[in-house]
Amino acid sequence: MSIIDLSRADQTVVVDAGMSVADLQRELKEHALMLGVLHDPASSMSLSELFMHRRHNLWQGAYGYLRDQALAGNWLLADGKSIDTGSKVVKSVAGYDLTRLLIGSGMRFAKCNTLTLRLRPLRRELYYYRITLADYLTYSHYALQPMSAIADGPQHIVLASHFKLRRDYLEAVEHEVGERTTLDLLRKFNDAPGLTAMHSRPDSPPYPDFDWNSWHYPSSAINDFALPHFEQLCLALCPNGERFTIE
Amino acid sequence: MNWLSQLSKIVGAEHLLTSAADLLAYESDALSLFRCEPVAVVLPNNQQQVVDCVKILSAANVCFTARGAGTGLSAGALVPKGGVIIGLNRLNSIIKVDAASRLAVVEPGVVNARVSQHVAQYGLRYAPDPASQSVCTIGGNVAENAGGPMCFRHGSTTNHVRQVKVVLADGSVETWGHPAHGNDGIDLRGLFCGSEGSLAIALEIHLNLTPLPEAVRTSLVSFESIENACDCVSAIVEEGIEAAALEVMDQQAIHAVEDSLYRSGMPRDAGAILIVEIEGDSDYVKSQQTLAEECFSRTGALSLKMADTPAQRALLWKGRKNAGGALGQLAPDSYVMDGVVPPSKLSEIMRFVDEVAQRYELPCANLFHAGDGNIHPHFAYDGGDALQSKDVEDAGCEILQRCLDIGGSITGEHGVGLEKQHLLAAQYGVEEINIMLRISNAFNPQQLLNPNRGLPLGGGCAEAFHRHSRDVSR
Repeated sequence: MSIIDLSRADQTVVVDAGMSVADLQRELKEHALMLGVLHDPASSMSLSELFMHRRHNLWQGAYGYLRDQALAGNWLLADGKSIDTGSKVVKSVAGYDLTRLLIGSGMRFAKCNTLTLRLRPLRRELYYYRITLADYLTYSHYALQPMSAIADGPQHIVLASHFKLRRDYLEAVEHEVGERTTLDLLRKFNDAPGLTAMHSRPDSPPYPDFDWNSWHYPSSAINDFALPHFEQLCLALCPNGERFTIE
Repeated sequence: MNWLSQLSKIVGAEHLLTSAADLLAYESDALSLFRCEPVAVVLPNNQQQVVDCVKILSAANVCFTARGAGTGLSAGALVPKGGVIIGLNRLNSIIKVDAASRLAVVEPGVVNARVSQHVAQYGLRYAPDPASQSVCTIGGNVAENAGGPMCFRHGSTTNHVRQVKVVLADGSVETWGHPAHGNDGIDLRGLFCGSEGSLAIALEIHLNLTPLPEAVRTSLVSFESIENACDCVSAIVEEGIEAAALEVMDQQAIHAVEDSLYRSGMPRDAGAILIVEIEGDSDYVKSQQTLAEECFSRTGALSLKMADTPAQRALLWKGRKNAGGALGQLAPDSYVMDGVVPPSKLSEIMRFVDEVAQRYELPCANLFHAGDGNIHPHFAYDGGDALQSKDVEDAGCEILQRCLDIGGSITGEHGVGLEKQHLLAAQYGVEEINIMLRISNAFNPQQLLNPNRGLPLGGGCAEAFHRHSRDVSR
């Protein structure tokens, strides 16, 4: 399971879907590149697992949804046929966007063999903050408004926790080192109770006590059996009705 | 009561167009290579009227196509003979803005630029900015998955649509996507974006809004040749500079602008210019600009003009944003192509475009979204000259085939429409296209809604549209 083709000039990579996210990020780092997906560096989760079953990108504010990172794919259909979707370039509107349809579908439509992914310049050092707040109202006042205002306005501020928020604290905010906005951020939370800040780096497990699993929560694709067009889409992919067995 | 009378009853007689004079504007979009006069144009002014019109047309077995401002460049919003166009311009309400959630809910007829103007009061904007943004509509943008200069950093329309409420060909109404998360699970929303109006018609669209940047720095850099400008783009990308926009114009495009009322003081003697826009917080912009200027020097920049104020920035962009209009004045007709190559292949494809233009003896200007590798050769031609029209289309096919040969795509933002249906099979295999056709048939079983648009035409349908045959006598 490895990188098949890496283009630093075009910031794209073709990779076996079975490769682990952590291994890919490690290899990309040597080329000063990264996948715009924040992921537990200690996890062995594969790209296939991430892109087919998970739905949350902690770097969504800066780099978009998981789907936004995938440009193309090679897929195995339940009838044994292999198809290619998308294009290796970062922008293509030729035909229906089958890549977006298959990503996040929980392998109900197809199994992923390879993925072509959009890459980003490697981020340098990161700051990590945990902002502890007394209660939900305090959170609303201190966290939601200012975070909403700054989350991805400045270039590299990323709101790590946005929706799945504990009632008493905001999980994390990241920022590149050496930018004035770090100070602005601290100033905005100056009178919020219980602010702590930590310094971390992207090449080590950066977030003590961070609950990665709660963040990469599984896709809701399982509920999509009830989707009005689910059966039609299955038949569009395999007209003779073949299906993968989903555990 | 026949179906035309029924439509008239729904929208009012004044909003059902049937006279030849009224229909003339609807016989093509901005790609005049293809024309077909609809039998009628119906202009509903609310969502229920759209649904009612769809139900009537569906019951009468009449094919129909939704249309926004008609600025599309791939002949996507045309109907075959006997068909009806449903104009959505009157559905132009910005229904809701939730600034805290960075969400705008709009109707499909809202003009793109109006969204950003409206939400600027909250420190927000709508990022996708097609060149026609002052007139094109959000519904059309979604149908084509429109792009624009800022899409290099911010992504195309599909990256900014969270949810859509749609009416299907049979008149049923569904909601796809999620107002907060956008594209959870199986992504019908994503399938709909860029489906060229062939799966459903948008009634209501939830848009993602992006904060306005604290600082913006726009540079206009001139080069001796287009190859040098492309080399500079590669250097900027390789340096890891996350520019918001990287736009290139060649000398022919510069001259067209400077000879028009859109002149903005671009250097006429330059072989090409590159517009670089960097945005973010002030310190970030400053640091990235320093790196960018090193790239300019390394790749042989002749001059550098920078904008520090919004007025200066608007002036630097004026020529680029209006270049399409300026080029349109060079000849009776204009063919704006749309292909994509990996950015590292830009110099190669530009050499090929020049070779093809010379071989066909066609005037050609180039302006393109260089960061994305999205090229837009403009051919000026006379649609009244059938031979020249055919040459234009043949030249376009050669260029797009070369885009595919070097790892690109036949379209980055204009869509397939009628223009490129025959080329889709060069990009995808039979199996992939059959899947797309089956999906189209699943949502649009009678092929009444924008029939087979964006996909290879069914037998006999191609003849329904005129090609290379602008009727200049009319």
